[in-house]
Amino acid sequence: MIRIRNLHKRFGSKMVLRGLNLEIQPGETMVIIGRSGEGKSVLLKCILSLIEPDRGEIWFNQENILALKESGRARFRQRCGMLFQGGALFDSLTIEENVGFGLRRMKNYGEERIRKIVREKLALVGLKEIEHLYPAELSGGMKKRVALARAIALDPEIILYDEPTTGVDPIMADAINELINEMNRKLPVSSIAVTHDMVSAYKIADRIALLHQGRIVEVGTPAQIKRTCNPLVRQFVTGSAHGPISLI
Amino acid sequence: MNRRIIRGLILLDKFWAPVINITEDMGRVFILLGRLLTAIFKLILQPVHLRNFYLQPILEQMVRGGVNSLPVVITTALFTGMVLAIQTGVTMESKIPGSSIFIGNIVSLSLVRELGPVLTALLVTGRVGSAMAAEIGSMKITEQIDALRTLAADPVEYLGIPRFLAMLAMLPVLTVMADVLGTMGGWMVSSLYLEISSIVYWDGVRAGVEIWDILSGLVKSLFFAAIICIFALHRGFSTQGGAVGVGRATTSAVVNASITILIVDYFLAQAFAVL
Repeated sequence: MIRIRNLHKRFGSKMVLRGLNLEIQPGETMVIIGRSGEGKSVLLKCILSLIEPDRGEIWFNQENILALKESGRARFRQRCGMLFQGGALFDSLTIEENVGFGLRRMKNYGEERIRKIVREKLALVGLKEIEHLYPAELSGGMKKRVALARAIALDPEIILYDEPTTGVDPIMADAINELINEMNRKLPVSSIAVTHDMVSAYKIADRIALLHQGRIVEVGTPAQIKRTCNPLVRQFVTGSAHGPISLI
Repeated sequence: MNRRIIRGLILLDKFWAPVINITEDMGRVFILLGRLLTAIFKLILQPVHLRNFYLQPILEQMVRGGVNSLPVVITTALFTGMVLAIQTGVTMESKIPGSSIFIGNIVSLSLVRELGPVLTALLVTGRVGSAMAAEIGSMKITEQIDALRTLAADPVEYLGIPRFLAMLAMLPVLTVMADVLGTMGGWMVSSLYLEISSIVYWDGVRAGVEIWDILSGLVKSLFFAAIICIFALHRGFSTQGGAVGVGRATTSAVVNASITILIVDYFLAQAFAVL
C-alpha cells in the first residue's frame, strides 16, 4: 500500500535520510524504532509532504505522492490522520472545535452531525463531556487522546503516530497502546508509528523496522526482532550503551 | 598577489553575504504578500466560503488587534497633541509674539499628515505585530502549523487572511481616532495653558486640514497595516528553535516592521507632496 523508495533528506550539512526503503502493507501497523535525531519524525513528515525530501519516491497504491502538485498532496493528506508528538492541538479552539476541525473544512455535514461524530470519536478514545474545554485545561495523557480523536475524525486510511507514548506516565502509555490496537481492530487502517519506547513497539507492532544512519537496517515481526542476531537491533532493543551504535 | 586577491574575495563575501540574505528575506516577504493577496482575491469570489470560515475570525481579530488597542492609541495621541501644542505654542510665541494663533493649524496638520498614522502604526506594531509573530511562532514550534496542513487548511490562508483583513480595516480607524484625540489634546493645552480661545484654535484646524490631508494619512495607514501584518506573519511562519526562536521572531517582526514603516512613510510623503 505504501512504498518508500530511496528517500533522501538533508538539513544543511546534516544528512538525515540516506536512501531509505520501506514497505507498509494494507491493514498493517509498522513501528519504526531508532535513536532520537535519526529522522523518524522527518520520515513521517516526508510521507505527508510536510517536509519536502531531496530525492526518492513515496508510493501510495499506484501514485507517487512526491510527483503530485500541492493540490494532489493535500488530497492525499485528507486520507491520512496524524498524531503529533506533542498533540499539536490548537490552543485557541475548544476540544469540540479541535476534533471537528477537519470535518468542518472537508465534509459537507450539518453542525448536529459533526457534533455527533466528535462525541463518538472522543468516546472511542475514552473521553466524554470535555468538548467545551480548551487544550490548556487537559492533562498530557488527555491531550494525546484528544489528538488521537482528531486524527481519526475523518476515518483515515492511514494513521501516522509520532511518539504516541512520549511524555505520559507508564499506565497512560499502556492505555494509549491499547487504544491504538483497538483502533486498528475497529477501523480498516494502515498505521505507521515512530517511537523509541520498545514496550510500546512490541505491543502495537505487526512489524518493527530499525532506522539507523538514515536507512532501515532491519525489518521483522516483534518475535523476529526479539530473536535477531543483528548487533544494531540487539543493542537498541536491550537499551545498552555499549555496541555498534555510538553515543555521539 | 594571490593572497591579496583571496583577501579581497573574502572581504567581498563578507560584504555581500548580508546583502544577499536581506534580498532573499525581502523576496520571501513579497512571495508571502503575493500568496495572501491571491488568496484574498479568490475568497472575494467565494462569498459563502468567506462567511462560513473567515467572518468570525476576522471579527475576533478586529477586536483583539483594533478595539483592544484603543486605550493605548488614545492615550498616546492625546498626550502627543498636548506636547505638540505646548512646544509649538511656547516656541512660536517667544520668537514671533502673537503667532501662536496658528497653533490649531500646525497641531492638526502635523497629526493628520504624519504623527497620527506613523505613531499609531508604531504602537500597533509593538502591541499587535509582536503578539501575532509570537502566536504564530509558538504554533510553528508546537507543530500546530503542520497539524493545520494535515487537516486541509492552508496556514497562510487560515491564519493570514483574518489578521491581514482585520489590520487593514482597523488601522485606519485607529489612525482617525489618534488624529481626533491628538487635535483635542492640542486644544485642551491651547485653551487652558496658552490661553488661546477655542474659536481661534478650531478655526485654525478647519483652515489647515483639507480632506486630502486626511485621505493621505489614511492611505498611509493602509500601507502600514500591510507592513505590520506581513512582517509578523513572515517571522512567525519562519520561527525555528523553541522559545528562543519565538523571542527572536517577535523582536525581528517589530524591528523590521518599524523601520520599514518609517522608510515607506518618507517615500509616501514625497509622493503625496508631488501629487
